[in-house]
Amino acid sequence: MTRGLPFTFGFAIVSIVSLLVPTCVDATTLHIGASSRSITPDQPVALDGQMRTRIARTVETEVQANALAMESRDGDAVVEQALFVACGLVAVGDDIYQGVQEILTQRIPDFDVSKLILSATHTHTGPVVRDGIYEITDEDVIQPRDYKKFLVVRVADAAEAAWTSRKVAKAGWGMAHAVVAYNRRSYFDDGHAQMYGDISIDSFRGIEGPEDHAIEVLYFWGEDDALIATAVNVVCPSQEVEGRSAINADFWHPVREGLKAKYGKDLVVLGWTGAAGDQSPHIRYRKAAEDRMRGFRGLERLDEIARRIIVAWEEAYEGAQQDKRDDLPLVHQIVPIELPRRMVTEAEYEENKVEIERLKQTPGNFRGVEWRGAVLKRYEAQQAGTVEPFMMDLHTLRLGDVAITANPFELYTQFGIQMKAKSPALQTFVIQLAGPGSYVPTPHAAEGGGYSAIAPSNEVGHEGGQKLVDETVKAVKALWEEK
Amino acid sequence: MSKTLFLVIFFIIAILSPHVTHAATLHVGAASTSITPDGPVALSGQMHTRVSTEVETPVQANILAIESREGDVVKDQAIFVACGLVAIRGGIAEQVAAELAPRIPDFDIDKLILSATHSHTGPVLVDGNYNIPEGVMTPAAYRDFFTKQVADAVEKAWKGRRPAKAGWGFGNAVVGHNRRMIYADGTAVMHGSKTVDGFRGFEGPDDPGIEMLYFWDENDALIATALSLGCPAQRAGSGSKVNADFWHPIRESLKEKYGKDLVVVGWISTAGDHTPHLQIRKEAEARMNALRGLDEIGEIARRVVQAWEETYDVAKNEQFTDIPFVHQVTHVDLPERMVTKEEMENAKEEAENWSKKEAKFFRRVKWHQSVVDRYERQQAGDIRPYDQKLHTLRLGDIAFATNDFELFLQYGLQMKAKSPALQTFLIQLCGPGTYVPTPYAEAGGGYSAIVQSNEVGSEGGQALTDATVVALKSMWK
Repeated sequence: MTRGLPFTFGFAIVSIVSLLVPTCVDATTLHIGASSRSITPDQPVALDGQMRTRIARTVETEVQANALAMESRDGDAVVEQALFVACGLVAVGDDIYQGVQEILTQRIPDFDVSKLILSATHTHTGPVVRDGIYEITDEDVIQPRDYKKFLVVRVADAAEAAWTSRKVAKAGWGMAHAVVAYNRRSYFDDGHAQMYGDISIDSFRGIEGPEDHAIEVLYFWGEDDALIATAVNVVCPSQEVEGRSAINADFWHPVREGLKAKYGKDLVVLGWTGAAGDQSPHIRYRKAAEDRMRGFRGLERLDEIARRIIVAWEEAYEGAQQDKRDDLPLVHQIVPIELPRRMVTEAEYEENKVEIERLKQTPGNFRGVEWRGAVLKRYEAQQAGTVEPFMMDLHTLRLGDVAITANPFELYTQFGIQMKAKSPALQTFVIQLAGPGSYVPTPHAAEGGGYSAIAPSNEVGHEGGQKLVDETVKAVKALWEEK
Repeated sequence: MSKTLFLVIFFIIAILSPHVTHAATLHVGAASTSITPDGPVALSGQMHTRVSTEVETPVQANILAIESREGDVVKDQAIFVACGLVAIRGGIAEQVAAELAPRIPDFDIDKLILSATHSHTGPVLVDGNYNIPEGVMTPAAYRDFFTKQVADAVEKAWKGRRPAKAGWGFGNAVVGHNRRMIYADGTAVMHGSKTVDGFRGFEGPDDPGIEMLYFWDENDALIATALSLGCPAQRAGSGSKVNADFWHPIRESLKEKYGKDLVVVGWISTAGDHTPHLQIRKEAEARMNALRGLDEIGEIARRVVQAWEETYDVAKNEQFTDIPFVHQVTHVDLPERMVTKEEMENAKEEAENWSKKEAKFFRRVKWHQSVVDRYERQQAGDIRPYDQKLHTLRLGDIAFATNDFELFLQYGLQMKAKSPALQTFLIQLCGPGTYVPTPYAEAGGGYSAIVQSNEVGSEGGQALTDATVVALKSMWK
């Protein structure tokens, strides 16, 4: 292999890059803690993420909450805090977030609970966390309200354990690539688009938008250089086995297990999903060729995805461990923002009304009726003039040369690309599904329509998506303007 | 199971299996040659004249000759020549064919396929596109040199063909990046700024897939490998030294590991809207490269070689000796992109403005003027469809399809998605290499999607795609 640069010259470049990237504000010591807890219930549970009700009576792989606590201190004085918990769930509703906050307020009073960030990996084989959207009639199946009581305690346990175990640590970051995500929206010659639309038919014209194959990674080591935790930002939801009727953490399970087997059983692995509303791990074309290669390797599809992520993680680690930082700024901003809601047109209202009547003719469409019914309620609220903007707390953080930002949506990748391109950070970690998770499409997607870009799918439309990007970029830039 | 039932099942399997048509033995030859001249040479691919007086890495032609036989009967043939050039222009395909025809009379010269890697640091082929200083090799002299080098190597590959086994596989490496940025006002710009407020994203997807082909001789020695990659080799783009771009370190690395005689054939898949230049996260990528001690071209090669090895490690376990080989050559008329009056007027103004500048911008003047000339010709009723000589091949479970253009990726995705083959190797730039944009790109405009850049527009791109898919499907019937 050609090595274009000698190592010394390479380090010189790293130093130049470091100088060019604005460095900060008051240097402090970093304290890190991490912990994992199972959020898998002991009894049968309904699974979230599909239009039909599925009951899991078996656990294929455990869904978990993985927590990472960060605190910067100047001597004994606390300068900044953050607590991330990545959950093996389809989304994280406000009720769950508030429930965890309430517990943590009592248990760890030295932590500012407004600085808690809960996110979901978007597994579609995790327990239902939304009330009233599925018909769950089997008596032995735990109801969502009861599961959530269990969940908030387990998440709080993980957060508390991470918080109380924090110790002086070093941080590092890096990036590499792995092909995990595929843009799942196909478009056709008549201008319409469709999620998972048939790509073998004559009228197929292409894939609607880009993917982002970067794997951005954070690493934390103790003072003894033992790797404590890693956060891995993959621009793809973990829903490869989304149709199954068993609990499954999807590709994050083999990623975690693969890394722990190599780097220590106590390593905590946080899976963060990047802006990936229009992405999926399902292979869109060349599936037979991919399957043939995987067959040669003797790997299941989840294992193949994990193999790619682990290769990328290790490539990034090889570089990052040469550049550990123990004296770096941590800043965590929370800005309340308002985003315009997607307005429902009269035509959309009428169309959904008709569709609801059609769905009601067939049993088992409870979720579909509920989903479209929300559009009718929105339209009626619009007509009554009672529509409120979408309110959210925008978290943006700076940790040394990297930025971290969170949003509650399934945000199309173009928005994440904008955030990364316009950010002044060396690397910008975008965490989606830090909330309930409705789709936010691009203008191009909204024109093409189809599931994920139509009114029932979008509480916030592309105007709101752009405002979110603009506010995020503004907030991240502010972090680099700190004196 | 009764014998009758067994025969019925066998018969059904035989009908369903694509393996059984035209079974034959495969004969393969391969060779490499330098197409780097000794003296100073002008470089092709930019709008201004660049003269190279130094060779950073040699540009090559890498050749793969394939013939299938049933006993002594020749069933089909192909010769692929992958060249470290910006495109196949200036009549070099015809010149090489004319030179070769008498030298290898047992080869059907119609089945010769020249392609370019799209190196922007390879020699100029066309007369009159650049102002070339005295003492610098002329395009005509370079074409003669190229023809001799390539003809000699093709003859060697053809005459050296021997019984061989084939294998194929698929891997991924992030190399190509969509280079067309879209903006809030609906415009698109190649390599446009990503940091301005109006930036809204990338115009289309990337294709990180690499289709890989391997040939072994009867002793299991690896003779040749071909890679079809969704990215032109133009990272060294604006340099003024001869450079084979990322194909050089890929070749050298594979040869170092798998034998100095290994021939590595680099094919560019449909990638008109792609580039190896990083579009976002440049500093983060530069930091990782520096920590590895690699420059960008070295890093690209590392990724490709890694994907190649991951694939080879498992694909080598399935080598085929008795597989169908079919090579179809058809001609497709593609509609010419029509020039509007407004486009003509803009081009006229641009040509006038550039003509007032330095002589090195001569190429840009010509580029705009050609639109004015085209408009006048079209208005006079002289509409010229593009004659695409379309090669489609089947080798066992895989297919190949060529085109002359810098075809936007979406067309390639369509071809691959609609193809009946397990893998479809696309080879662009088997001709002069003008861009073929999508309708969405045409609406956004910008270099590569404006009429100056397109002899064939989106209508022709779709016609090419449809014709390619029809041809591919016909080989599986």
